[in-house]
Amino acid sequence: MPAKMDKELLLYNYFANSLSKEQEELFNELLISDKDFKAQFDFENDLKQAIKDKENHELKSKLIGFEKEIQKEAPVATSKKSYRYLAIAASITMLIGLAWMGYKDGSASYYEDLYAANFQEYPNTAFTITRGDTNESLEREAFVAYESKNYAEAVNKFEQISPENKQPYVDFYLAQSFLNLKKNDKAKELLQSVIANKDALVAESHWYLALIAIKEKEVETAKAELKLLTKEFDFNKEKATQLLDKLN
Amino acid sequence: MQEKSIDISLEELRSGSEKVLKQVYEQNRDKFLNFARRYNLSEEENIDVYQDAYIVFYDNIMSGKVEKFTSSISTYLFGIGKYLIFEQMRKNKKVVSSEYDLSIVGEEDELVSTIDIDEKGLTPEQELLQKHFATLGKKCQDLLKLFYYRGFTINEIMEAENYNTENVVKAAKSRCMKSLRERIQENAC
Repeated sequence: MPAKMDKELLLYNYFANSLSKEQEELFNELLISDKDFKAQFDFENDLKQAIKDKENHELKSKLIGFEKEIQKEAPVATSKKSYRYLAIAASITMLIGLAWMGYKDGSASYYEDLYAANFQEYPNTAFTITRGDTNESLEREAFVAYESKNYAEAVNKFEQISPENKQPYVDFYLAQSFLNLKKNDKAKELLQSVIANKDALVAESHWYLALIAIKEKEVETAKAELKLLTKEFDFNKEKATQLLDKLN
Repeated sequence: MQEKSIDISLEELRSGSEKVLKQVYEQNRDKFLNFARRYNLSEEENIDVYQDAYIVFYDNIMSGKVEKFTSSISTYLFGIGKYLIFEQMRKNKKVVSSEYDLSIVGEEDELVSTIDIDEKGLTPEQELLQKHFATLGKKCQDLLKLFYYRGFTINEIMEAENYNTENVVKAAKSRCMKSLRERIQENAC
């Protein structure tokens, strides 16, 4: 049984970030076996958290102050800039407008371009890869491949996930992988099943179905998907409205 | 050469200088906001996340958890920020726009695993402690802050606060803790 002095030293070293390996072991043992030691530790650790929280609040107020100063200086500069941008944007719009007439019906690549301008793979927001986890699950491997844009590998891994381990979002990301591999039919099928299951990512699936329809020149299907999206969901509402305008 | 300037600002940040604090905030702000705009949070939320990421970063520096920069400050902020943005999106149950950038995976994420991100609120005991801590004299508050928040040793506190000997620091710390306990007990009665 360590003497009182030793226990104090242990606590002291803990808070000074200087416990040795042996001390750490003893420290952990005492936390379980010695009620008084645990109570003393809790008190000091609570104090540490309380002080940290106070410091953080003070820092937050300072940062809010910095932010106010920045924003006070900013509006003048940005408004000048935005005029110039507006002017440039206006000229570009005019040029596009002029080029438009011959382009829309004459060029077969119109819908391809529209697709390319709007397609971007959906990010992995479902599965956190890092934070020191060593979980080597298929799902993790699949998302690692997905994030590194290795879509063939992602498909391979996603497809190996057994039904009982399959999270509702997996089909959606599998569809994304197929889209990136230009296997639109497979993607379409999966997105439709995501919508049918109503689990998650339904609006997103409608968006990608609309894009696939555009690419395949199925204008009416695309319009229907986009109308549904703007009517019932918030996801990409602005973009969907713009796309609808272009299709009409 | 670059390494050196990074090291200096770590020391300067640690010194608690408000000028450096502001400088680092301003230097990384636009870069961070540009990065955060890829995600589907409002500009207000982006600024909020930037500030929270900055606080987490600063905390880790002040507590000595980050002893040496292994990357640029913006890399730390991006890594922490990305983590906080994802947390925020999960909280909002917010769907994500298609304007995401997935290229930012890797270095930042590795860094985040070396950082403490503490998002829990205070327990009732901690709130009580915070309330009474604020009623202590400035000397006590400074001393306890250096010890518990900054992770200073008694010797470092002696030097930073011009105490004569380590024993004087130890005695002062005991007195401060005793007084804090008494105030809490009085309150409990």
